[in-house]
Amino acid sequence: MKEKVKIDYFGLSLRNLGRHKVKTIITLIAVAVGVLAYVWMDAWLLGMNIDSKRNLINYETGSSKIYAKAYFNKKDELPMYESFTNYQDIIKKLNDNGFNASPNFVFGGSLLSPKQEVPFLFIGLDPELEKKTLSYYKFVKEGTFVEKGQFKILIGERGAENLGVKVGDSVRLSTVIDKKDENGKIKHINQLIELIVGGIVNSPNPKTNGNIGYLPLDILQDEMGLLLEGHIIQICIRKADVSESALPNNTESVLKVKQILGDTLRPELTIVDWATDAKDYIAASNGDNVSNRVMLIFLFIIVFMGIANTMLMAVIERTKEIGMLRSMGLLDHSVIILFLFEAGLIGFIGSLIGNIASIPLNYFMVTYGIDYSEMAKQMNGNFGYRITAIFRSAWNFHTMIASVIICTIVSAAMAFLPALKAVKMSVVETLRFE
Amino acid sequence: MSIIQTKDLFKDYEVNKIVVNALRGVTIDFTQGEFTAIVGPSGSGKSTLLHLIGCLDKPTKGDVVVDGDSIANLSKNELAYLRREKIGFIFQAYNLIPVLTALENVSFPLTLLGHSPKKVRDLSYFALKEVGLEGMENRRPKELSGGQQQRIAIARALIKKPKLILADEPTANLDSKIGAEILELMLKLNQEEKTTFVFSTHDKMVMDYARRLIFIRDGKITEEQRK
Ligand SMILES: Nc1ncnc2c1ncn2[C@@H]1O[C@H](COP(=O)(O)OP(=O)(O)O)[C@@H](O)[C@H]1O
Ligand SMILES: [Mg+2]
Repeated sequence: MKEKVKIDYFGLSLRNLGRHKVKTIITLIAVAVGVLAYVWMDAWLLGMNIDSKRNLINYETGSSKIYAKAYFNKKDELPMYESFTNYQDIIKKLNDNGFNASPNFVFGGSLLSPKQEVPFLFIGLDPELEKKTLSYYKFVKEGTFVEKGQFKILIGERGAENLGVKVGDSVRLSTVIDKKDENGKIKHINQLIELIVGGIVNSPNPKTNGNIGYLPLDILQDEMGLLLEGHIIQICIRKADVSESALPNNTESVLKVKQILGDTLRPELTIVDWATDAKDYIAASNGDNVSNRVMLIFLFIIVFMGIANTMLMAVIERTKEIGMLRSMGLLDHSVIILFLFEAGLIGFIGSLIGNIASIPLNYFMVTYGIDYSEMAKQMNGNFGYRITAIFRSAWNFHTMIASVIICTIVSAAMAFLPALKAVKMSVVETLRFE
Repeated sequence: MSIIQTKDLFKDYEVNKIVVNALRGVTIDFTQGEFTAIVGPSGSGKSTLLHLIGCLDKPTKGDVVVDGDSIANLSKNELAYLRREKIGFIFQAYNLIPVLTALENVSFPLTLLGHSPKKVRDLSYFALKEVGLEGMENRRPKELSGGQQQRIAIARALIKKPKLILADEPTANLDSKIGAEILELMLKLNQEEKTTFVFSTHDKMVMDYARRLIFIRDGKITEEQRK
């Protein structure tokens, strides 16, 4: 037989929640605070995530990059001998199709001031092309951006502090040139380059602010530089007319770039998108998200245990009433539904309050954010996120809606065992219960 | 016409391995319009008998026949449907739902029968009027006296016009004056509506209202009287 009668579970649950108003309010607040914390944190993490991706793309990688396949496979070792040449036609073809592209030579080494020797990452670049593709040049704090033909280096602010140098000071670049000879054997040549600090940069991407030096590609070509003879490591690519505040979309996907390049992208070369290029960093930032979330999930477990306990007490308190309802012919499953409704309603109302409370807070966080530049300096920029200066949250409506649905369902589920207890006793026993 | 019959009813309870024989072979027959008291001392099996007649529980042995149908093979839900339609209950402790108003308490059995909200409302107002609680429709149980609460319980049992109303010591929590009023009310409803009442008691005053008396002791019927 199937129940064909409509029972006003909602109205009854609402009344039952009114029995112990203080207890109900405390439980609602617990749910609301949990949800508020979660939604707030989620918006924060999403904000940082989007912001750090933007900072990665705009100031470091572009939307995609071309490497020699052999280089990309072991790029953590900075194998400068896996470079490539004859890239001019690639850049031209990209430019003709509305893309900017900047060739770089990336290499490791150290920078020496009279006081210090500090390990540095160096990037040789063509200033004009680099400025079109990436925009950290807007954050040159002192001095100037890299200039063609000048033995000048632009260094990250923290790098400059570590070296104890200012604009105009002399520094010495020390590196080992690794070159493949005709037989494919790698030769090592020590090299020293005398440079002047031409500028100091501090962009919202901490990598540009650290132990990093940017210098003109043209001075690295001969024996005064790195004997590059037209070789480069990578080409950073970005669509010409896109907004910096948006993440790359399909119009600048790897697929699109591949279509444009066709055969110009020689088989020994590969093209990867920004996310693949920076995959270690992206994995690290996702890891951070998980640990933060796990912490809040513990908070929720406590809240939900509280709901289960409240429902158990309610079942015991109402044993006799439940007996009366059942003797009047209310079916056992209706009794269970009644308790599930009641607990679900706590989850629903609580999470709704939490979400509503999160709106003004997140509005502030999305619109104004928090200025962290001082703190970032003290922490040496080690956030794991490529972000500095200002943290801004981002609205995450998925999380908001999901939090209400999940809270309602989980709260209701918490009442299941207590409700089962309510109908496990026989009707006669519940009527005799004192 | 017989509404409910019990056939050689036995009921055992087992608590901590000790078996209590609450009923030991009870056979009775109730006909339409009766006003019957089950009389016996505390622990004699009155409640157990009413619970079995009311299809709240199944006997250990024997059978209950409602409107000619045996309940022996009915499921839990089928018993619930049977109670919903045919049986009203009144308890010593009133057992009202504290979060519902007087009117809502009275309405509940009708709601379970799936009547339209308007019909439920009209009948509930009328039932409360019949038990003398006109104007108290929106009071909560705790805002009413014991006698008034028992009147709500009577209205609630009565409203669906059941075959049978079972009342387990309905006046035990009330003083004798109010108790008498409650019995007067039940008697009036019995006569006007032809509702069949079976109630238990161990109170001499209450027994005086009954038209039929069934005496029970140690789970067995010892005597029967009709007036
Ligand atoms: N659910 C139960 N579990 C155990 N023993 C019970 C139960 N219900 C009744 N009894 C026992 O059965 C006997 C009859 O009880 P009951 O029917 O309540 O008597 P009365 O209503 O006449 O006082 C008593 O000894 C009582 O202790
Ligand atoms: Mg009793």
